Amino acid sequence: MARMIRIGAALGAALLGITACSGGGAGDAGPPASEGGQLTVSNWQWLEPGRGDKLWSVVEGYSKTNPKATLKKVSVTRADYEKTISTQLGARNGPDLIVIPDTYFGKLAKAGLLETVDDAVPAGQKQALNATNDFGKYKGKQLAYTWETVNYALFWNKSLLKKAGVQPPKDFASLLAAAKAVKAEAGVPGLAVRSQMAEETPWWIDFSNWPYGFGGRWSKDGKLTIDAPENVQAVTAFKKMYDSGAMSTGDDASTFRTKFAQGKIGMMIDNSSALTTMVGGDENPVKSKDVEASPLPFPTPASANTGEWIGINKYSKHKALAKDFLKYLYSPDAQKALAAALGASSPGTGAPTPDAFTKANPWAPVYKKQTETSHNAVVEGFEDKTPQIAHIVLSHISEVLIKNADPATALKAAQAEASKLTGS
Amino acid sequence: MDIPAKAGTGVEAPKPRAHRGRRLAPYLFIAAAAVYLLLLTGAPLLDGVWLSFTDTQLLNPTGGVYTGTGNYSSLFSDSAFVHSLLITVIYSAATVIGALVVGTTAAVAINGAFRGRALARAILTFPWAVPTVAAALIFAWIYNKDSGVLNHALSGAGLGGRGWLVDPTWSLFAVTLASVWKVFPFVMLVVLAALQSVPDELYEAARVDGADALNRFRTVALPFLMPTLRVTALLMTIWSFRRFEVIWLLTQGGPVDSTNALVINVYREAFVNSDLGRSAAMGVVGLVLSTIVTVIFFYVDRGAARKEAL
Repeated sequence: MARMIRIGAALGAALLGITACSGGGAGDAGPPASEGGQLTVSNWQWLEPGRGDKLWSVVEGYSKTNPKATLKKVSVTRADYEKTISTQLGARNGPDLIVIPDTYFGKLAKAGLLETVDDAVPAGQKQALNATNDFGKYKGKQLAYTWETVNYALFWNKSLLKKAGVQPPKDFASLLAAAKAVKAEAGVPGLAVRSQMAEETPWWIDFSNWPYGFGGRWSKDGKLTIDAPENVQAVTAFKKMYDSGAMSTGDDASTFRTKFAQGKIGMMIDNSSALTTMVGGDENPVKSKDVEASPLPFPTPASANTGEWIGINKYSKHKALAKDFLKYLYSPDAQKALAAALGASSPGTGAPTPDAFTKANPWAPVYKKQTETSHNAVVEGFEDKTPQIAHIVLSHISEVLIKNADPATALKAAQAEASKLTGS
Repeated sequence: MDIPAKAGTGVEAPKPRAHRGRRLAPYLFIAAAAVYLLLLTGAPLLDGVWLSFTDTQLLNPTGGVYTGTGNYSSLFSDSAFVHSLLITVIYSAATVIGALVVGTTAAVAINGAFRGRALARAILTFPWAVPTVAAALIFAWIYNKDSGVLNHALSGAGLGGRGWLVDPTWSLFAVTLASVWKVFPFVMLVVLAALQSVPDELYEAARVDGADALNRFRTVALPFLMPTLRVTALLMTIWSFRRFEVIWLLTQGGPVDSTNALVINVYREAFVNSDLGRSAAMGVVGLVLSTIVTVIFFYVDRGAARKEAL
């Protein structure tokens, strides 16, 4: 019996030990930054060929300012990112610092899983933060700062457009005509953009370019505007392009991006990170000099962007150290290094892209300029419901594309379903 | 119950303690397995059932509140969920029938002696050995609307291409075909093992009676195979109800929910919508479906056994 009690006590102690090791308390700031420690930083971008290592070297730069700190990368594929981080945070565990996709931020903020970081960046450094950082606020509190803003633009393979005998398009009619000409003359798809539910989350961001470009939005003044006339026009235009026979409709993004890099796609509407990767590979025949870009050929200059923020896990055991890391990250030197690593996308300050990058990639300034008119794909006022709203809207748009449903009727049905979901 | 000593034999009844030990021995032997099952199967199952009656969220898994049958009533009033149940039943039935037909045919084909039999068996077993992710990627390339080999072949034959994974008319068929390819070798191996237990004399007798190959299979082999086929069908049905990877990797339930099986809904509800309570309710519905199929199987199996005994 005494032996049983001893074994029981040992098991109990072990369980307590496991519990104690499993995560910090929500209110515990942890040891001061001067004591150092290990910070874990999660991001899917660590896995990106070419860019991942450059970005990580910026993060690792922190250990030069705080030699007692070590950094460990947590790499999760983009497809599994939200699921993995949610599961870890739900267990009151997970990385200390989290790079957060814009469509995911609302959920984490609403669930109270992000530490307030108002005090992480000193007042002097805050002046350098650009307006995109306001999206990292929730109920008046700064819960994250901008890690990266990635803009969208239209770009094309110069030689394919020349072969087709068309000028770079300036509006939707000329985009459609150019795509058809490329298909007819070069025998390759004229345009490639995402159009499949199998890529639901990125398709939502990509597709938002169309309603934004036609002057629409998903919500306004706290009300959903899914069936707004501008959005109907955008879906109608997308459908025309989809049915034209000149657009790639069977490939996923990974495939059509590879094809563009091989010179087998005429034009694309895609983000700057994707283009950087496409023209960055030594083995790809299409190089940066072979590509040109312009703002989207739609009625208004607005476009979508994808924003990523960086925040601190509420249950991190090293909150003080993590805040000290943010202080480092938003210092002028670190931002300069980050801007260089990000390439054609922008960090959370006005840190400039190095001249050498712009010279090597003449299309980059077009992307940078989009920051003035671009907007993320989060449904304002319904931030934590964005994934569900996206699913509803894209399902109805799929019916337009595949089953020839009427765009206005489809968006009206989507508006009704989303309103029911949100209770608005 | 104590065993009395037999009079005059000199054999003494076992001592009560030794007798108790013998009585407990079987329970001790199964104790480890029972504890394993209770802890790793029973407890999560009960927890899942409990979750289905709460509003638990993925980001706050300990903060759920009891909501009664709210999740179930919302599910069954949702036409999309009812549609996904229908998709699940159609997909499972088609996959099971397809795998049984292809697997049994393949087993019969490789049962006889012929040159290269070992190679043929290895090739036919190959799909079962391929990781599901790799198989799904291969089929995604084959089915690609613009550059897939299937559409190239169809266009070459003058039949024109199809949007195998982007057209709701074809997507369920395409996903089912990929699933049948992946799982038929299991049926083939099980049926092959059963075929090899059929005595050669029975085939010989049937041949002497003038039965052709089809009749020999129907009258000699099939009665031997039926118990095996019934068990295999049960296993395949349950596995089909919960098959996730092939569908997710090929279509994620689309296009227009045409392949949106129950498991896809369970995943989406838990990890996209973060609603663990509703997701668990969907899981319980799946469990009930599997249980119904199992009960039907045992009912049919018992009936068949009685018929054979007569």
